[in-house]
Amino acid sequence: MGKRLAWTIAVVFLSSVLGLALAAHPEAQQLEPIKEINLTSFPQGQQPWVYQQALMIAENWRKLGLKVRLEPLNIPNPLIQRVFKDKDFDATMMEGSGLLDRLDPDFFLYTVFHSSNAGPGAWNLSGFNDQEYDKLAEAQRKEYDLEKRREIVWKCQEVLHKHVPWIVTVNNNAIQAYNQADFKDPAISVSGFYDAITLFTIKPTGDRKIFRYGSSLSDLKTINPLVFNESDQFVYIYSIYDTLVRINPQGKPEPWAANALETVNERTIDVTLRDGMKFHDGKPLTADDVKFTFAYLAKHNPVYLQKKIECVESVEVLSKDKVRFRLKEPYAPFIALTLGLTPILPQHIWEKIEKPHEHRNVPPIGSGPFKFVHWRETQEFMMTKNPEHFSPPYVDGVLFVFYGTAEAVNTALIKKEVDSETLVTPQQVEDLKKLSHIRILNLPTHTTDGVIPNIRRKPFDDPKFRLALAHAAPRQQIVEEVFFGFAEVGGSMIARYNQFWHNPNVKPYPYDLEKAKAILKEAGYRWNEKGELCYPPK
Amino acid sequence: MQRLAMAACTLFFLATVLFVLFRMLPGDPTMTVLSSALDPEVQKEMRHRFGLDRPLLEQYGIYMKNLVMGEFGVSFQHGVKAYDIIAEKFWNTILLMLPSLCLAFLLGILVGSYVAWKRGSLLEKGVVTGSVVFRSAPEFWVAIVFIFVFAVQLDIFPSGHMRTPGYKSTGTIEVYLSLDFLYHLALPMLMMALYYCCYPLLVMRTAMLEVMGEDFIELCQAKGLSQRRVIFKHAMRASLLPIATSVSLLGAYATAGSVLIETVFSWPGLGRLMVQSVLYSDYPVAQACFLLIGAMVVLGNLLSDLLYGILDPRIRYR
Repeated sequence: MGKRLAWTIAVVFLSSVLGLALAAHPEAQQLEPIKEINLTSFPQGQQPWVYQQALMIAENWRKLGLKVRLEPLNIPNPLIQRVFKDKDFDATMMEGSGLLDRLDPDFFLYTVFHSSNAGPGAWNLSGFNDQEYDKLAEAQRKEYDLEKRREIVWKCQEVLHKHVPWIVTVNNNAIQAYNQADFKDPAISVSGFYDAITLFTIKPTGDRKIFRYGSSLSDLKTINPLVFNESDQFVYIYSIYDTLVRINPQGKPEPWAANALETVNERTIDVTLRDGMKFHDGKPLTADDVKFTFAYLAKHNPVYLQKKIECVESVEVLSKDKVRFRLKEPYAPFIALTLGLTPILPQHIWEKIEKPHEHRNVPPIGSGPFKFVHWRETQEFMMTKNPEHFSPPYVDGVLFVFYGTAEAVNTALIKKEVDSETLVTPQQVEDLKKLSHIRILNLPTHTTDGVIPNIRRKPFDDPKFRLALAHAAPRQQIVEEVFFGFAEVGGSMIARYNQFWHNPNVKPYPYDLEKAKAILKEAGYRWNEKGELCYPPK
Repeated sequence: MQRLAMAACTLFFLATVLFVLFRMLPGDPTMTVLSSALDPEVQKEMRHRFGLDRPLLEQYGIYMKNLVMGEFGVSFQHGVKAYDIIAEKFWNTILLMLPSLCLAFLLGILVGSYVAWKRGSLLEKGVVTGSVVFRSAPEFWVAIVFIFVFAVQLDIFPSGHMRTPGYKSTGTIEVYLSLDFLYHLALPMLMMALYYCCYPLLVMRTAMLEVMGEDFIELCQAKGLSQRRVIFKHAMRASLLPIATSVSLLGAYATAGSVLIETVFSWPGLGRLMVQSVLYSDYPVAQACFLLIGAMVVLGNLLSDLLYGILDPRIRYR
């Protein structure tokens, strides 16, 4: 007992002496350098434009006195596990693709930043957790009045801008090209050329009436609406299957297979179907098929669609061509996202399938503007016009041709082996410009690139620190050197391209390293004699 | 017989190693999409559907049982049997590789012995330097150069694929029995043959030079046989032994290279499927692909062993 007491006294004595000694030189002794930051990114081989941005960001962070280790991760494996599931990173370079269903602000505001989505696997990568913000994000998805909803959406963008849970760098353009000698006048959807709307509206100029679509994005793996899981597959699914609502080229949801939509109250929506719709096998499409589709999908957990349909409480058949949707709670994106993305399945086919997730679904029977012809895996996918559709396409058919690399598609377009290319790189633009038969489309998008700081970890938990880093992203340089001008400097989480929802008062932070240093200094951060950035002394 | 048993053992071992290796890889097959599929509920459901929630040993048991019955399980990505996806691709790969390799060996042996005969000439120096340089270039680069020169600049071959997109065909065999197929096969086959003939060419030349210094060649010459006959009949046969070894070596090498070449030529073979299935942790398809390719290498080894026996009666298995 006595021994322990003696030890305690000795330790207390020694430490107080040490403490006094340290107090004499507080600046020199207590500075704790910030540990090496692990910045993850897509690799050069997969998404070079993301990796190159990460390189530039890392270089600028180093100029602030940080140590940065850049770690490229392959998508999907192991990136999804590390970044999305385990959230094991200090900061990550990310791209939020400008998909059609992300035009609705719900994705970039609620899915990406609501605190309920900060768990394993969900999209709130930064771990942003702010009660005031959560309330705003919830309110916007319940507000049906567009003007009122916009006010809340604007407010959300301001809060995000202030707290910087995502350092937006740029919104990149989509560069696509097609053969204008043989085809003309495609309506370009807000999600770009790679969309079913292109195929519904493009017109042949001469005798060649089959539009050949060159793709290198990834091989088509499934046309089963329960199994499909990538936005690349939208173009096939929504050519063959109809949805009740379709998002028009201007980005607004419009009735498609529906004749009219009627909001009875904020949880009840009535939908009247078009007259005389038929599936490709000749059987009529009725209200029963609609009811069946939603019940069937809810039962079988479709990979992509599950989140879109879980708001539906029940579907009731009112008459042969009228259904009533009841929602669990008011959900403003219901019309655009739920009705706009759910393909109507024929009951007489799917009710007989025992293991729908293992069903190959060849041939797929839908009611859409195109009918399935053949699918040769990793080679091609062929569809033909459905002349009985209420909005028949102008071309006789569409042939998707799959290539191993982006260069191969480019070569094929130049050689006229295909009529369009989904992904033109800025470097290829100059070569294509010389060819008269090719029209190049340079389309702004709402794709949002940026660095996501992991707020769960030090020093990113400090909003001042994040604000300083927001000033250390060379946005203009990225636009010029990474995208050769085919991008726009980004500020808000809702891109400028998304005009209706974008808040013009949210401006990009200027690139200014001196200002970044000043913010850090003001927040108490210091640099040690080696020039390393250190935490504020306690 | 003994060789066959050994080959079977090798395959069994390979299957086991593959099973373990894929499960050691970072990443999770239920996490291959950036979407709502990352919902823990959905993941649990997927895990169950894929059979990944069972103990590892049980998974291994099912895997082995399936293998013995010639099944590879259901693909995670495609949602259909892995066998159905692979079977067709496998033949596409074989149809590209087999003729290419045969041509490569034929070319290599003939040109190799010819330059050995013309030892010291400018031609010999040129061919040897050329093949060393060519062989050192990465195959995907050579493939791109071939496409650039023959498909884009000269415009005499298509830039890729196995048939003209949108072709009509009724039967499986009909796909291959057409001029269109040969037309598409020509460029990748030529490229592979030229690329892979360098190795047997150099091996052949070295072996020939060695053999040509031996007594029995002098004897042949003393018999008054023509030089051509000495070279192509007597010296060549004796020099073929190292070539037999290179069959298995080159086979393995070309199999690995086919992944890249098929991608560049958009050839619908196993190579491209392999890359995709590994990226997406599609265990059943990836395992089946690697196993098949492994089987091809084992078969190549077996073949070269048998060739040895034929070429040199002294090393025949008893």
